[in-house]
Amino acid sequence: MRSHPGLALAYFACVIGITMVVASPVFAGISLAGAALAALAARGRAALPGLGASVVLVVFVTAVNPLFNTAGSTVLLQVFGRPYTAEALLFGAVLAAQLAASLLWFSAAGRALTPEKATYLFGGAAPALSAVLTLVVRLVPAYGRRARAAAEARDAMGCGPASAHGMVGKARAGATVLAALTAWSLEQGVTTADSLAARGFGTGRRTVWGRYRLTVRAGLAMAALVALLALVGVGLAAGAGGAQFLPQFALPAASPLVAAAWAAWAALVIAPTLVGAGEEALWRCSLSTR
Amino acid sequence: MALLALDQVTFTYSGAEAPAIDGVTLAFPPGSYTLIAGLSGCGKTTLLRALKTPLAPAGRWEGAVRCDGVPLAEIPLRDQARRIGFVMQEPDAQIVCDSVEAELAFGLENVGAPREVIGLKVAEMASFFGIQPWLCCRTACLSGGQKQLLNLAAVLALGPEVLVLDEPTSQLDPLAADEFLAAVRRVNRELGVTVVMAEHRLEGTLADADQLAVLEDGRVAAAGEPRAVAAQLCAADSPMAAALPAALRVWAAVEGTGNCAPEAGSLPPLTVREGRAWLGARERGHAAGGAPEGILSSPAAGSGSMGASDAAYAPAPCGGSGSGASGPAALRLRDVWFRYEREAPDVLRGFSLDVRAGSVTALIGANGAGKSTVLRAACGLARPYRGSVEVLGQRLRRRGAAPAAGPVALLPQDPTLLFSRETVREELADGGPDARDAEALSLRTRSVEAASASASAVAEIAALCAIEPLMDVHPLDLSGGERQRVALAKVLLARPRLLLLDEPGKGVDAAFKAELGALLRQVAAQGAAVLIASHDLDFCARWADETALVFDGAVAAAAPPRALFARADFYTTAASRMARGIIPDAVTVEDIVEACRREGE
Repeated sequence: MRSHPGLALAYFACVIGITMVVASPVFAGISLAGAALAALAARGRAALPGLGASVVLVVFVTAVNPLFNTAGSTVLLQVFGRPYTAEALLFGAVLAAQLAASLLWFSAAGRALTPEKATYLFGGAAPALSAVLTLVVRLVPAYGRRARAAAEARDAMGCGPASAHGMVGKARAGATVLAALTAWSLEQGVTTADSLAARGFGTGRRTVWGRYRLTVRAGLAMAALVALLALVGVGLAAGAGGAQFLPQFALPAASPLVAAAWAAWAALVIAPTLVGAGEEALWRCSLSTR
Repeated sequence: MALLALDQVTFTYSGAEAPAIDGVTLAFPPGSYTLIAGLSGCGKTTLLRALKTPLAPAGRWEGAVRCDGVPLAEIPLRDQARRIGFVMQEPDAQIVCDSVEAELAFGLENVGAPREVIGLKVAEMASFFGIQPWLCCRTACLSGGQKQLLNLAAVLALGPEVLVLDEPTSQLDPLAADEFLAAVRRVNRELGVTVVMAEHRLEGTLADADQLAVLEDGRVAAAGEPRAVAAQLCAADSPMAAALPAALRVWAAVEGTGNCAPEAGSLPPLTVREGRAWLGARERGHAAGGAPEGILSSPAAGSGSMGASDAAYAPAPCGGSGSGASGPAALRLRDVWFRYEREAPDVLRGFSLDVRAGSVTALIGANGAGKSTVLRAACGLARPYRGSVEVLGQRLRRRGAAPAAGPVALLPQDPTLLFSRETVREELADGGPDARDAEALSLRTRSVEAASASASAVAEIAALCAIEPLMDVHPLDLSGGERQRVALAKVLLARPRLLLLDEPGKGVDAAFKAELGALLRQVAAQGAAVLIASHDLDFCARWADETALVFDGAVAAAAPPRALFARADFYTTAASRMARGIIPDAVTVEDIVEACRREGE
């Protein structure tokens, strides 16, 4: 990812914020479609399991919502003597789309905002916090590897989790591995603290270094982001994000301003996919010119 | 004036009776290279930590540590971070950042260096140490050697005047360790940085050093010019002598015994090259003086005539060739193929090996050749997709059954993996399946008998591994060698009939290596089969009955160590490289000394 951390942070904060706040079928649907496309463009086939899980989530939340929420005038059927309404079903679908889209956007943000970028952004304001963040990012996978190694080492002696018998035995073997892990991590922590101290951590003002520069390209992207956001904001103020669910479902009238806001939102969420596709095309062109 | 100087420094841990370091006076002039040697627990780490205020342990300090004449405590921490670099043992725990690039910049960020300077320093360090190919990797994906090199580079990015290293290679395999030590040499020679290093491996480093300081129980037993101090150690028959370079040990044993008159003005040799020169000159001198024939052959006859000359002198205590090869096969691998992932390349490619009961077999070979994987296959952790693994006559099944246990035990590279209890005693009580059986038994009937039986077994093994004084210590408070001992005791308590050890000599001092070798021979003498995977050729030559050179997932050559190492030219012991073409078939230091003595008579 070559994007400037500030740009990436601003983009994802806005997209995730709007996705979570605006409960409109149009906004939620566009956001979900954009997030799914971005995941496919970035990860290819590897994105499919995650997208499948999103589909399951959407179907489940949509189907379950009418069981708890019986408001609405269009009764589809009776479940346990309670009405199962089309309005509640639709509202559930919007809710589910918001949820699924937010999750997908969060995972995209996690891919784009690597720990270095996060420390670059927050390191100046809160050095201790950013150091803790970096260490946690490193420690969690390290714990997993160490736990596997310890379990294997004990298995090879015949007292590990794999060779234990019964639930109690397996639980006890697992707890032993956990105990070994805790002692080890404390020991590692002491060394890491020494390493921090030896390299002058916490001896005064810190520089934040990163090989990121605000280029003209990033400035243009920022300007485009601001312009699209402004359009979406004006549209939202004019009621583009509204939707009526009760007593009957209705979308706001598609005035030019509302339609423009929808279009701007669509442009915003499709941007990562387009940038990716554009780079791919450019790559192929530059290859074929050789 | 010395850059760093310790003046009568004494330190006592709070609550401890005896001082950890006692009246140490040492000076490190600018640009010098000092090695601090000593057995585990002699105070090396405490001494080095005194050289940097934020790392100095809490307790009672006396005496003065000065940097350029200024007491160290008066130098601000930020300046100390810049001027004094410190590299510790653990490659992994010292790394703070997730990416290599960020790690290189971390120290400079902390001391508030301008951004342009950081960019330059990161680029410089990456180029100087050849880090560029893995600059964008996650730090978690690096090998141990790469991690430690990164730690060195990250410290040097700050531009220190002094580099302090506390056993930096103890967690590395010998090849990575050599690479790391070569980098330290470059830092000293090409950048003029003062180096102060505690190190067990003197074979490769002593020739680079200007000063050797030997610590014994917190006191400086000897310090000065490396050759002089080393010769002094050998003469005094110090336990540290076993760690000295092979060339020097041979020289000391031959010249020091008085069998032949020491040549006037001759300096003790430190490297293989110097050792060869000395041995060659000695042989020529004897040839001219009409020495008895037959023992020292001409260089050309070197490696060809091993069969005939084998009988010329009785092998030194080195594992008897062929003596243990008669026992039944405890482990039999036949045409084993294995890979870790479906798409990954094969790690074992038609690997076949027999390990006999009552013998010590060593697997040698480079990193990634498949040594550790063979051990994993032998204990059922790695299931081959083709071929068969038979343990004690029983074939391991490919799927279903749990990994083999009981008769097979594996001591992993990192012994700490086996520890989970508060004290060594509890650690041993929580042994393998035997301990569990005893526990189950004691619940039912013969409780007293079973409990006493297991207690006596613990006592016996503790005595064997010499860990009785450590029984009430927390396992993680132990030093590297002590941990290895306790882990070995724990593994032995399961009474394995096939004992597998992965790199057992890693991070332990020379004295313990010899004890370990003797211990393994004892285990084998009791009828167990021992299989070691090791990079330590000298250890294998001294203690193994059989050696197998593993290359590219298969056995490239298998023979008793004497035969294998005598045939090899490069991948062999330092003693063998030194005597090649001068004394045929000499593989260990003892072999060369023996040959020289016979010839002197």
